[in-house]
Amino acid sequence: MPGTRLGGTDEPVRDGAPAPATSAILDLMPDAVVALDADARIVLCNRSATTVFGISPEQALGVQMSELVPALGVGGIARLMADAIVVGGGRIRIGRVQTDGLRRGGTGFPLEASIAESHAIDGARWTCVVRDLTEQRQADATLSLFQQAVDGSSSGIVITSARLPGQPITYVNRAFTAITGYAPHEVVGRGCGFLQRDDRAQPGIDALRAAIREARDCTVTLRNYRRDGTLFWNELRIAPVRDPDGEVRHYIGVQTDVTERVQAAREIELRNARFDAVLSLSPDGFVLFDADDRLVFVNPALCAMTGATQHDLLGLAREEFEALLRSLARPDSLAATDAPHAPPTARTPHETRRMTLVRPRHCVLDCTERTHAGARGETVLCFRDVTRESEIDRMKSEFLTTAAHELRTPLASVFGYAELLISREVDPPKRQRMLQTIHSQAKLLSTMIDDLLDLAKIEARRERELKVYPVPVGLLVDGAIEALAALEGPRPIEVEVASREIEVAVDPDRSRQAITHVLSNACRFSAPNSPIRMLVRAGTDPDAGHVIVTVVDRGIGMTPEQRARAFERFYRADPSGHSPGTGLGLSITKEIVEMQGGRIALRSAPGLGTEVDLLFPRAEPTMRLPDAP
Amino acid sequence: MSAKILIVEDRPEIRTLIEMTLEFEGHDLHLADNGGDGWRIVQALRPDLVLLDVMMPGELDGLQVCERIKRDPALGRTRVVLLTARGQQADRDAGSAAGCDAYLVKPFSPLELIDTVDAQLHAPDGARVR
Repeated sequence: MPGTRLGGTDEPVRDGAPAPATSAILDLMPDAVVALDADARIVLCNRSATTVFGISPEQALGVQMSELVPALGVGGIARLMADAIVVGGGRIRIGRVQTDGLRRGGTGFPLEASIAESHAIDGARWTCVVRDLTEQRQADATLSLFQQAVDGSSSGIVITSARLPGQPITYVNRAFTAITGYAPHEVVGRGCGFLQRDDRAQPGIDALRAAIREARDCTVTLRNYRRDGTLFWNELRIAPVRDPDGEVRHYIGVQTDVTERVQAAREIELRNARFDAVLSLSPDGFVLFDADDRLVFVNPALCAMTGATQHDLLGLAREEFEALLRSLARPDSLAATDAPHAPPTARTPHETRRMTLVRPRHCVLDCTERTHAGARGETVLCFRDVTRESEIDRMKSEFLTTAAHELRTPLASVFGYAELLISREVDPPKRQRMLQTIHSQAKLLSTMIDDLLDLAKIEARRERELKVYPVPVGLLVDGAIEALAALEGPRPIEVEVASREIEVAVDPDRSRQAITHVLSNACRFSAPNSPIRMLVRAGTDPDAGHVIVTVVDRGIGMTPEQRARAFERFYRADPSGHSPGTGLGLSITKEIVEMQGGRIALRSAPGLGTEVDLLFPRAEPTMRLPDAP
Repeated sequence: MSAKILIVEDRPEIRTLIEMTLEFEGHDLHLADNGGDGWRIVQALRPDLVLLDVMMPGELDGLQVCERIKRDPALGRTRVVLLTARGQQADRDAGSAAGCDAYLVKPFSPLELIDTVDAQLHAPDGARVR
């Protein structure tokens, strides 16, 4: 800027060009420097002034400063000087203002002007240093936007200093306060550790320390505590902020309260654990196929049913699994349903099919299928072991058929003889025989019905109905012999009881009934004059906990085949009708004895006789009679 | 008309009942209390009619005796009436399969037994009465 004149700030401005060196320095300054005379006209400006105001030095000279900066007319400057600070021993006043300037062409722009006032002989002189604030304002606006964004974020944001010891917090946003309950003034200057209180043993903290040591990003989930002491799960992401030299100056931490998410995850985990427990304890077998019909889950019960390991089964295709089932099943047991061969879409969602597996062990399974369980197209197969149920069903129907058949036979006599007596004249002796047969067969029918009802009661296993208490075994024996006399007529029984006072823990009525059944058999299957003995003794190891009642006869005995079937219902060793039994006695006896925790054993040989052991549990010494009978 | 009739029944009271039922009809009655004896008597006696209990202990049950009778050409004229407490369709089918001529279920009416026996004795050969 040759030819321009310069006004210094700390020395009085004189007319005349500034020294060339000073002029060169002024021209290097980024700010516009303008010297004004007493009328606030420009008398000198530097090179930057031309760029700030868009005007050449030649055009600037003599121009009123207020044309470039409206606030800087003579009056404006005077008002500014009223608040100015005074330096240079009172000779110089310095004022400062932020206002708008006008570029040539009338475009406004923000500026900051510093004005130094000095006094010459002919009045005041002013030197203005004008800085264009356009860029700074933009930067400020951007910064403010960032500030607002950070403040308004729903995630908590923490900035810590990396340089100060303890890495204190230098900033927290509003969300931090909302999440933690701590106001900024309570936390700025403190390290972040207070958020964990005493709960320091967390894997996340170690991970965080390692990340800080290595000056890298990291994300951890921590148990943190609010100002009021309540726990919250904090998912914290930290990132180092480096200066241009690469040195870490700050860390920025972004925290998100994930308590609900963590709790939901825990809840799901807990539910899964419960389901796992239920499924692994379940006696029902479960398999789960994913949408691609791959086996993705199998429980232990199903492994036991199929004899396969989880390892064998996982990953099998549906068809492979069905093929495995077919290989284990009795072929005809799958014939009822052709579902395994049908494509999955053809299967009805809740179809139940029954199959009988012969390997690894015999079992009957009901398989229920639920397709598209949930929205993911999965298929669940549930296998219920109904072996026992189906066996019981079969036995029940067989039992009923047999029972009906057994009742028909005595009924045939009652019905037939009665009809003959009605339709014919029969001489008195014959008539008497016929009536006797009707009577005895009707009595047999009645006994059979009683036995059947007994059996049904015992079958129902209503053990509550058992009235078990300590009874001296002598009483049981006496009662049984008494009942036998009523049933079979007088018959001497040799009784040998080691101690009548030994107590057994049984239901006395039922146990007496059991002994009577055995005695009654002994009478029926031996000659009227052949001896029947009953021995009672305490069991020795391994039957030390029992009292053994043994009934010995010298009757016809049983063949091995008869012995094997002795406990079968309706099985009669002698079907001729000479020994009019129901075929239920021994099976009832067995049920009674076993239900009370005892046992029955049978030894027999044809022509030699039969011995039956009934084992009854001994009463514990502590057992006492119930208060009420 | 007097006919030779064999009664094969293990229960004595039923055997006596059948015997009493048929004795007024003037038939020639023979008795057996098991299948094995029954079969031997059938071969020796060649009866006109056999009343056979189905469920009997021993070497042969009623169905087996019936099958043997029906398989033996020398016994072509012998009628078989099965007598059983088992009256379900499966049991009747088993009886038909064994070739019986008639099937009576216990308890039976003595009068019905007489009718059945008469019908069998008077039916032309080859015609079966159910």
